[in-house]
Amino acid sequence: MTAVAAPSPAELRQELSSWLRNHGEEYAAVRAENEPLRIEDAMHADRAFQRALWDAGFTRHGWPESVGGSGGSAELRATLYEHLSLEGYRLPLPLGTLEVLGPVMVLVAPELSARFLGACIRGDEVWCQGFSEPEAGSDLAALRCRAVPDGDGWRVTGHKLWSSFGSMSDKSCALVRTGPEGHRGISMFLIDLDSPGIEVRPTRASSDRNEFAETFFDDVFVPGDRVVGEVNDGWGIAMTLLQWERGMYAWQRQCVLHTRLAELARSIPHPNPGEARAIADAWVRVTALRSAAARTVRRLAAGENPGPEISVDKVLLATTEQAVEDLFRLLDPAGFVLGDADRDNLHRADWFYARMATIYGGAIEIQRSIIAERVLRLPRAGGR
Amino acid sequence: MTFVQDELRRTADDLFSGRSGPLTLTDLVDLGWDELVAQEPALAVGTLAEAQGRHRGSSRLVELEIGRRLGIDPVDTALGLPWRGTTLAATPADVVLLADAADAPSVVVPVMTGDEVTLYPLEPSGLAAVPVTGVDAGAGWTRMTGMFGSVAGTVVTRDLWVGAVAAGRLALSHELIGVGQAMLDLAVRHVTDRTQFGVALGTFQSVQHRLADVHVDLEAARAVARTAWIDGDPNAAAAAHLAAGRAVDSATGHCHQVMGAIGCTWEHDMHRFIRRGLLLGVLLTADDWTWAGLVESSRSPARADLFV
Repeated sequence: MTAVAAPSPAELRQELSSWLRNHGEEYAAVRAENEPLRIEDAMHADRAFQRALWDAGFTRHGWPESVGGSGGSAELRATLYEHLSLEGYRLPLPLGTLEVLGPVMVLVAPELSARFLGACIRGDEVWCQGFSEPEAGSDLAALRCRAVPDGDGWRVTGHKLWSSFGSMSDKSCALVRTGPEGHRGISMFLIDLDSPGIEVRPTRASSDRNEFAETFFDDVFVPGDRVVGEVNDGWGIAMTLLQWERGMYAWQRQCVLHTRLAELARSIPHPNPGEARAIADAWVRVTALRSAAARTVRRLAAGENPGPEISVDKVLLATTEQAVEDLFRLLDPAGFVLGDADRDNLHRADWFYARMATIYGGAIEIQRSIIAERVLRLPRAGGR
Repeated sequence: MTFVQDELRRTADDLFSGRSGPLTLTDLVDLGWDELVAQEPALAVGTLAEAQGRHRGSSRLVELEIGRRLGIDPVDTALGLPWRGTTLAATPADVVLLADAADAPSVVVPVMTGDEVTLYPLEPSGLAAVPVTGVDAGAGWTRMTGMFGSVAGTVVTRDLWVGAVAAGRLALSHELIGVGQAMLDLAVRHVTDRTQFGVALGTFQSVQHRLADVHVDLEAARAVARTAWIDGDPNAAAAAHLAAGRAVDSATGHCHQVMGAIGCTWEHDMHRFIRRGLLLGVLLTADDWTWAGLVESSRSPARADLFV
């Protein structure tokens, strides 16, 4: 046990503000207004900042000591992310995937987490998900990437795609088939992306950025101790992990969307009534997302299972992303459509990213079906 | 906490179910309302208002919440609310009382006077009071028209008024959410029971997704209201009110559609909830101050602390 008590959220905010006053200038590249167009450049700047946040102790809060953290509730992480964004900084990109993968890794794979997760929290490594496949998108359980036992490990062969930041990642949390078809034959592996037999290709997204990547595994050896949790337990782990995507990732996104909306609203000092309504409407949506995500983060931090209700958060996240980004188009049509400045390009890239929000992590149609059948208890659809 | 919540919800349901007239001040006294609100304002107001919406009940709850902030004693004075926005500009007044005229010995109306609000008493001579009929005659409201201004009013600051309106809007938000929830409950029951093409309507994704969206909109409104209670910021309450209004619009459109022809009959309750939603829609609507406040909030870095 370390003697240092976890700070209160208020103390954490104060400490961060004071640290940024002294060191913020060194990380001007991470300020929201200086976001580079190329995602690779953003990643480079973000990782340096993430490392500095670790060295200063900020990103240790809310992670257990077993992974190098200083303990305390995950709510401290949420507090940190929002305060960073309120201070005008971007949230380092790797923290997005970390928050999807890390919390569940700690629970189901304590040894793997103790060995490897620290590097991801520090910013020394970037991790990505390896879930989707050409024939397994929303129907994730149809995945075919196969692992067969080989000595004290496994041989993996298959094709993964839509891995966010995949071309900039060091490790992939990949779902692979180790058993029969369906949910029960799936395992999760933590795979080094520099292993022999792996080829990673960036995918140029509609945003004109390399948002994600596809990965080809050709008879790749993965040591047996890289199984996350138990063999054939991958589906349950992936579903728990998606809850953190609904919770903490949605929380991170509301931080970003609040910042974007504020930037836009400040750029129009005297909105006409129509503009004022449009801005107000977007603010109402972001406020709803923030409140819903906060409750989910509190529940997850307390070890509760939010159940199928969490699909509500996912729908709110997706529709709010689109509402905010659409506002740029509505309120600054010339810049949005014709502008060639980096800001204009970024706004367009963000708009295209928002179009993905109703698709990634389980399309909005899937979420609506879950809400209908498992929350409202409507009779199950027959594939119509 | 959950026990208290359930208990209170049951009590609120009992209060409204089977009742034909409005919930009176005496009923609220019997409930220990003042103590309840003092101890657990969000829980008390939220639960009672939502139950009122779900049962199409009525009471002076929204007005009481405004009046409490202004120091108005509801036993002898009622606050008349404009049909549009939150304040009147000039005499004569045309306002709504959320009660029968006989329940209110005297009526004050909010009038914008420069950058403040003055609460003027309505003058007895020429005062007209007629029951509100229109889209929904069942709420027991009264429309009052009359003159003001020859007797001095009570000046309240803009901040005090905006805060009082916010309290009313929060109560109203919960009532609207209750109305929307009642529509969703009706629709869920219908699409579960009704079969066409040999299957329950609720098995069709097009039906499922409409109702899922209504649920999401109601949950979004509840989420904004939760933050507004923690926050105490009038702009958050205005946001809650807008979100609740949107949820009712969403329920009106989607639930009415999936009810099919049965929802178009006078006999079915759907139109009664739609009517109540339309009626409540006239109260405390956004005015210039509201929009300006919301835009200011969207620019501001201030946020309610949701992790304490």
